[in-house]
Amino acid sequence: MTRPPHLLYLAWGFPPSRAGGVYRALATVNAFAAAGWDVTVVTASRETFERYTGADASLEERVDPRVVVRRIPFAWPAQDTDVRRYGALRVALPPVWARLRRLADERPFPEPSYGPWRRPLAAAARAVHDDTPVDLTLATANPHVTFAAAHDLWRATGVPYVMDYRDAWTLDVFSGRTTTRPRSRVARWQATLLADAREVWFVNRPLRDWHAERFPAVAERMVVVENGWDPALLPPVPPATPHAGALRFAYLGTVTPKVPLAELLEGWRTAMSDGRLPAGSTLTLGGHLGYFAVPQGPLAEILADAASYGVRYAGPVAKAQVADFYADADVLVLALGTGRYVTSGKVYEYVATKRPIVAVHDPANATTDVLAEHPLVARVREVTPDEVARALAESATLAARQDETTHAALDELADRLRRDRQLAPRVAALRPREDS
Amino acid sequence: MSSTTVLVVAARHASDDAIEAHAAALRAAGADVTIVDLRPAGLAARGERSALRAVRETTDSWAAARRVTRAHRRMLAQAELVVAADRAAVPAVWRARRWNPRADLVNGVPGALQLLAAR
Repeated sequence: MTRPPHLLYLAWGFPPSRAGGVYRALATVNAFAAAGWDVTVVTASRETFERYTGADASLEERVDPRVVVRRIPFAWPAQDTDVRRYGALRVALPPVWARLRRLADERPFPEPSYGPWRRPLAAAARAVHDDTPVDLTLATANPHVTFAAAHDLWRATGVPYVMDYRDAWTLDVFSGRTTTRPRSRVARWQATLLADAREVWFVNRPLRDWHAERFPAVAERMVVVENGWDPALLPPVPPATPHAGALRFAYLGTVTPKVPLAELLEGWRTAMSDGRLPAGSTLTLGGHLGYFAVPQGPLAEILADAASYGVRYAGPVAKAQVADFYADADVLVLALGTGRYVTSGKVYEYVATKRPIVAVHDPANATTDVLAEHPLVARVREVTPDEVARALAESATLAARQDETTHAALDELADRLRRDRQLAPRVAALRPREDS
Repeated sequence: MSSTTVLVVAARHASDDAIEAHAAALRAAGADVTIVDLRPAGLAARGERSALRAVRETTDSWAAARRVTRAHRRMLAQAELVVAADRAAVPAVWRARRWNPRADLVNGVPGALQLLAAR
C-alpha cells in the first residue's frame, strides 16, 4: 500500500456533543490518526448537539487536526420543542402523532428517531469513498443506524467494517433480559450486520461473551476493547494526603434512576450517626440530576434533606473542573445500577485519580473486574444501607493506608487502564497488510 | 435584559409547588414570568401509564385550550416567550400563534431555559 490506509468513522455523537460515548469516539479517531491512518468522520451537525444534547466546544479542539470531519443534518421531530413547527395532529392527538412518527422512523431502519438518518448517512459514506477510497469503516453505536450505513457501503463497494458496541442492542444490561423477539426486524438486522462484519468490539467481557454465545459463527471476530481514561482530558490529580479527622467523600456522575441513591444516603447517614466515620466528614455529589438541564425536583429534594448529615450537591461539574473536583476528595464513591453487563466509564477515571474507592454496586457488575487489582477498594456485598455504611467505614481505614507499595500498584493499574492502551492493539491489527 | 415570559400550566396533576419551581427556574434564567393557569378545578394525581390516562390527558389539553380568557390572550399577545409547562398546555400555547406572531413558543421548561441561555 503506497498511501496511508483510510478509515471512515461513522458516529452520531461526536465532539462538540457532550453525550455519552463521545470520549470513546474522540479517542478512537485520534488513535487511528496517530498511527498514521487518514481518518474521515461522518457525524451529525453541530446544531444537532447544541439543540439536543448540549455542546462543549472545547471537545472539538481535542480532535486530532489531521482528522477530517464531515457533518450532515439530523432532524429529530420527536424532540422538537418549537411549538410553531407543530402540526394540528401533533397538537390535538399527540399519542397518535407519536405512533405514526415512530412507524415512519422505523421504515428505513428499525430504530425510533434515528431510522431516517440511514439514507443520508449511507450517502455521505459513499461520497467519502468516492472522493478517497476507504479501506475500513468503523461504526460506533448507539444509535445502531451507523452499523446499517457501514453495511450499506460494504454491500455497494466491499469496504469492510467494524462494529463498535458501546452498549448492547438486544440485551438490557441491567436486567439481563433480551429486549426483542428472535424473528423481529431488529434481531434479523443484527444477525445480518454481525455476519458480515470484519470485527465486533465490546466494552467488557460479559457483553462479548453474551453475543458470542448467540452468534457462535462470529465469535472469533468478537473482541473486547475496554473503555479507559484519557490523559489528554484529565490532568494529573494531586495525590490524596492521608490525614486524621474529617474525610471528604465524593461522587461524580449523572444521578439516574438506576443509581442506588437512597441506599447510599441511608448508609451514609448510618455511618455518620454511629461514629464509624470521623465527625465532620462530607459526601459531595457532582453531576446532573436526571437527564435534563433542570435538576429533577424529587432528586434535588432528597439531596436537600440529606444536607443535615453532611451531604452536599455541587451541581454539574464542567470538564475543565473535574480534576479539581477529584483533588478535593479523599475517597471516591462509585455508585452504579445493578447489572452483570454494566461497567461504566467513570470507573476508569476514578482509577486514574489513585484514590480509595467505595464500590456501591452489585459485586456481579462487570465493574468489579476493572477494580479487581485496585489495592484500595471497599466493596459492598449487596446494595443495602447497612452494607454501604460498612463499606464507607472500611474505606476510611483505606484512606489512611497509602504507602509506596500502594502508590506503585495504583500507578501501574492507572497506566494499564489508559484508553489509548486499550485501542492500540486493535488499531495495529486492523492495518491493511503492506502487500494489499 | 429580561424576557417577558408567559408560563402556561394546564395539567391536572401539576402542584402549586411544581409551578413555582418552574417559574423560579425561568426567573433565574432572566425571564420576567407571568403564569397563565389553565388547570381544571379538580386536581388529581397523574396515575399509572395507561391508554385511559393518555385519552384523559388528550381531552384535558383540549379543554384547557378552551379555558383561555380574553385577559390571557392579552398576556400571550405581549409575551416574547410562551412556555408550555406540561403536555396539557401545548394546545393553548399553539393557539397563541394567532395572537402573537413573533414570540417563541416552547414545549417544556428545559427548552425554554436553553433559549434564554442563548439570548
